[in-house]
Amino acid sequence: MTEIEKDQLDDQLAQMTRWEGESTQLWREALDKATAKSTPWRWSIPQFFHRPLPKIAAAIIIVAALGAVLQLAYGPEHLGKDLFTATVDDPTALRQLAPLQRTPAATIVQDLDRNGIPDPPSGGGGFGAGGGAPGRGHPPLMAGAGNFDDFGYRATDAVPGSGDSRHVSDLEPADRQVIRKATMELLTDDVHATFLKATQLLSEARSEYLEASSLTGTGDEMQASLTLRVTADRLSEVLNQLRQLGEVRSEDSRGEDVTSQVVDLDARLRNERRIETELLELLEKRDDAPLREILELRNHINRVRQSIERLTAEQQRLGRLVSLASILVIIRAEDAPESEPEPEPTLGKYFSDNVGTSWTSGLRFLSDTIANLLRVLVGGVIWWVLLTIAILAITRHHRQAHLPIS
Amino acid sequence: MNTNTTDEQLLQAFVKGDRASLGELAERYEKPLLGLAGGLLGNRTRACDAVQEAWLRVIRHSASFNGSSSFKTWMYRITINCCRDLQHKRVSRSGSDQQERNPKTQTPPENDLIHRERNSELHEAIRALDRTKRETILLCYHDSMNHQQAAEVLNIPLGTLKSRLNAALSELRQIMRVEATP
Repeated sequence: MTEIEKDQLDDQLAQMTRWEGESTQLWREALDKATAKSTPWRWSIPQFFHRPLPKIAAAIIIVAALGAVLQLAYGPEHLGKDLFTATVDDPTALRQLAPLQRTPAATIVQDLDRNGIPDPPSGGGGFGAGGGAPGRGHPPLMAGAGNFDDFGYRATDAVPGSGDSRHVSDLEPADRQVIRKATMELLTDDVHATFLKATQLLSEARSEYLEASSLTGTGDEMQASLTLRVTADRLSEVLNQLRQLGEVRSEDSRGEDVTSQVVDLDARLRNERRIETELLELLEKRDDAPLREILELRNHINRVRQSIERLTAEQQRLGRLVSLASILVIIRAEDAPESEPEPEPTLGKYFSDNVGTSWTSGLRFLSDTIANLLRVLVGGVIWWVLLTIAILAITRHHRQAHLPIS
Repeated sequence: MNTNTTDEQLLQAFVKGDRASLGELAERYEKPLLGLAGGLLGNRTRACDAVQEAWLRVIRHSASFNGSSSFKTWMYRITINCCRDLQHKRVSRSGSDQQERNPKTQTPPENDLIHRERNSELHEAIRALDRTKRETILLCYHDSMNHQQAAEVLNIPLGTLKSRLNAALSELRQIMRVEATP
């Protein structure tokens, strides 16, 4: 490269960093921008959240937080609450839950309405509150799905446990339906004789019976156990007689109140029977209806009858449990050994027991730790989010503070 | 404002609330900075963006200027950093550093003076250099900058600057020679 060329190159290089043109006021624009930015804080999503994984993580955290909030707000007992129980507790929810609670009846009525087999009921409130089906001359069975007032039933009749639950609390003690159970442990000189005497306490005339019995061992180690089913009103009497058969070592009796269940079953059964009657009347009056509709109606009746059978069986089962009390009698010889004394554990067993205990407690501790971590993570999600935002803000501020010398 | 007032005094006045002081500083430095940014970025609009961003940073951090270097050095260093950031963002967005370095693939505005210059051999050769050498050459040949100041701006010793400049010039000439060969 010659000297002239070198000078030219120098000139051209100098020329490259010269600004030719109008004067600018960039500093003023920057000043305006800085002033504008210093007052309001603009919300912007950090760059970090523009990536897919943080987005998914953020979505999961938000969903978890919402779940936690719902859980806290309504509680697990509310979320998983049985509709039936809710009806009993809250009569105002009755009408909304009515169709769900009595699925068979509601289904039948809704199906009848959908399939268009209209027929006004005899007397009473009538089946339909709306206009008749055009060209058929019959009003629809129901104006709206699940409206049982239109079907001729009161809500208290229709929903088991709602109107009746009020009566349950008003019932006299004598009307209460209680399943009674008792356990008695007797010590006696002659186990076999006592066993036989106990069985003779049953009154076959009253349908009492021996549900289960066993006689094991010989001599001093002989032991007997028997389960007696006696009528509820004779429970005290039989227990007194049993006490006289030997020395009572322990005695326990308890009762389970099933009045509400019995009342509910009664109400449901009554409703199902009423529906059955109505449907049968409907079938009888519409003998000129098309075959398909008659068959459908028969199917509905069959379903109602199945439901009636199921409810009747349940009612009878409860009735049996209530009418017959259970007594479990355990008879032992008076000088029978209580139980085998615990042998002194060997070193190996002691060690293995301890290892087992440590393992179990370790696992429990681990699960407790995980549960607590989850609790902290999910329960404190709001704080975590706030903390993250604070950290991001601080980081951002720190980064900006060091920008000029970076 | 007195013309004898130093840059540092002007900055101090601006920190205290005198906006006109910043205007005075801009009077002294805005055009040279735009020239340097134009040379580094090869685009007039982006040069304006870079210098505006540099002023913004100066305004935000003027209070933290401690005087360990001169205002001029500080200001030039900020501008070069802004140019680097812009370049980096542009490369990230386009996804190709190659595209950035190849001026033939770009389509700048018609009235762009730099665009006209780009057609010259020298400009293409400069764009072909790596960033460090490009910055060294342009800073050293910048009108209002001597080698000592350029070394301070780049935060390297003077000797290093000189050797880097020689190497850059050699490479530049070589590129130009190769490009001149048919």
